[in-house]
Parts: sequence; C-alpha cells; structure tokens
Amino acid sequence: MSGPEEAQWIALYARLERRIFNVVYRILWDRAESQDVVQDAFLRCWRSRSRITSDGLEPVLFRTALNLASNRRRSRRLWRFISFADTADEIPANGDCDAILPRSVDMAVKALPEDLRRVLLLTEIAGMSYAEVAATLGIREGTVGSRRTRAVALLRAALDIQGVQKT
Amino acid sequence: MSPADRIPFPDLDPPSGGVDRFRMRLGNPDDASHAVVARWAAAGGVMAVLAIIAMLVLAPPDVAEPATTIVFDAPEFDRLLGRPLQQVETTAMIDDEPVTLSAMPVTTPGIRIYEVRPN
Repeated sequence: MSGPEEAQWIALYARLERRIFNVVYRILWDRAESQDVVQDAFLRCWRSRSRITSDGLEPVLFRTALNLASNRRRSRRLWRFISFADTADEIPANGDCDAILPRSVDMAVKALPEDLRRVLLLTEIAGMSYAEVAATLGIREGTVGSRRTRAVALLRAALDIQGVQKT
Repeated sequence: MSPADRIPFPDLDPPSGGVDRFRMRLGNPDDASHAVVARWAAAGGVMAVLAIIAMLVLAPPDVAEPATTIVFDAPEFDRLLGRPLQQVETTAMIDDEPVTLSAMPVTTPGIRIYEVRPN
C-alpha cells in the first residue's frame, strides 16, 4: 500500500462521506450502520482500485454503497424472519428521525419502490445530475427523469394522504 | 428539475470520527464485513438446522408396498381384471409326499388342469 495513494483515498472519503451517508441513511435508517456501509463501500473500491478509473470512481462508490445498503436491509429482514421478530421495518425510536426529518416523509420514502427510491435519493440528497445518476445506476438519463417524476408524485400523494402541508 | 420541485431533505451529519476509523480500516482492509460474514454464517447454520427438522417432520414414512398393489397383483384377480392368467404354483401332499401343482393354461371355462411334480 502506497502512502500517497492512501492519503488520496482518505481525502476522498472525507469529501464524499457526508453525501453517501445521507443516501444510505434513507435506506437503513440507522446512523452507525449507515456509516459502516459507507466505509465498507470505500474499502471494497479500494481493493478494486486497479480496475476503476478515476472518472468512474464516484459512481462506483455510490453504486457499491447502495448495493451494500440494500443487502443489509434484506439480511436484516431475514434475521427478523428467522428470529420470528416483528417484520415491520420500523423507524428506530432513538429520536434521530423524529428530531431531524419529519416522520411522515420518512414513511413516504420507505414506501417507494426500490428503483424509484434510489433515483430520488441520488438526485435529491446526493445532488447528482441526471447524467451522474444514469452513470451510477447504469440506466438511461430518460429513465432517471421518468423515475424521479414518478417518485416525487408518489411521495407527494403519500404526504397528501397523510395530511402533511407543503411548506 | 425545478427548485420548487425538489423534496427538502435535511442534510444529516454522519457519526463523528468516520475519517479516523476509515484510516484505521484502510490499514487493515481485511476487517471489513467480518460482522456481515459472521452473521451470514450463523444464518446458514440456523437454516441448515431448520431444513433438517423440516425434512424429519415432513418426510413420508418409509412404508412397504401398499396393500392394494399386492391385492391387485394377486393371480386370483387375473380373470376378474381380464389379464392373462399367471402361472400359479402351489404345494400339496399326495401319499404323504409334498408335490408341486402348477396350473396349466386351459381355454375351456370351468376346467382346470394341473401339472404334478414331486418336490
């Protein structure tokens, strides 16, 4: 492992951690687990760095983090099934969500289908352009636009049903 | 996308110390995902136990050939079912000697002819 290369990756982590964390958090709804996923994504890409170009690094990092988060979510559901625990995907009652994000928005985001949610999170939270989202998810820009439109419509409809006023 | 169309998601702070932790893990990349691997290994063990229990509970008992098959394969049903008559052998005692009686094919109804062979 070369020192300068390691320093570059640490700088990259410091630059991207917040954005990727905010996306992953809306999938896992757990701060510690979300940070684990962000770090695991970086470590995976670090190990595969010889096969990743610098231009493609950011999309690969986001895609890896999204896939890891989805895997963890699935494994969490499997564990709940095996342990016969409550299978409802509860928002943790640790105050994080309630204090920072309106609970109704959380629920509406959770209710979105996976493909729509990914697009919404990358455009709204990661602040990516349609082209960047397309590169990250491996879909066409037009698909990004249509998925985002559907996601926003579903989100607004869900919030209207819940009686949440637009501010 | 217009700014008015945007969903106002708050920007959350990740837990502190992430960079330091990442630096430490970068020095020892093998530690990544150990917890996940352990959980999957445990899950695999639980699933294996459940599968064995399910096999024991749900597997059909090891039974002999059903009685109905034995009955309908019996030579006595050949005529009833319109099947070709099977060669039937039975043992009898003639002059206190055991002999084998074999039914011979006969086309005349009501008549049976047996071949008698000493054992």
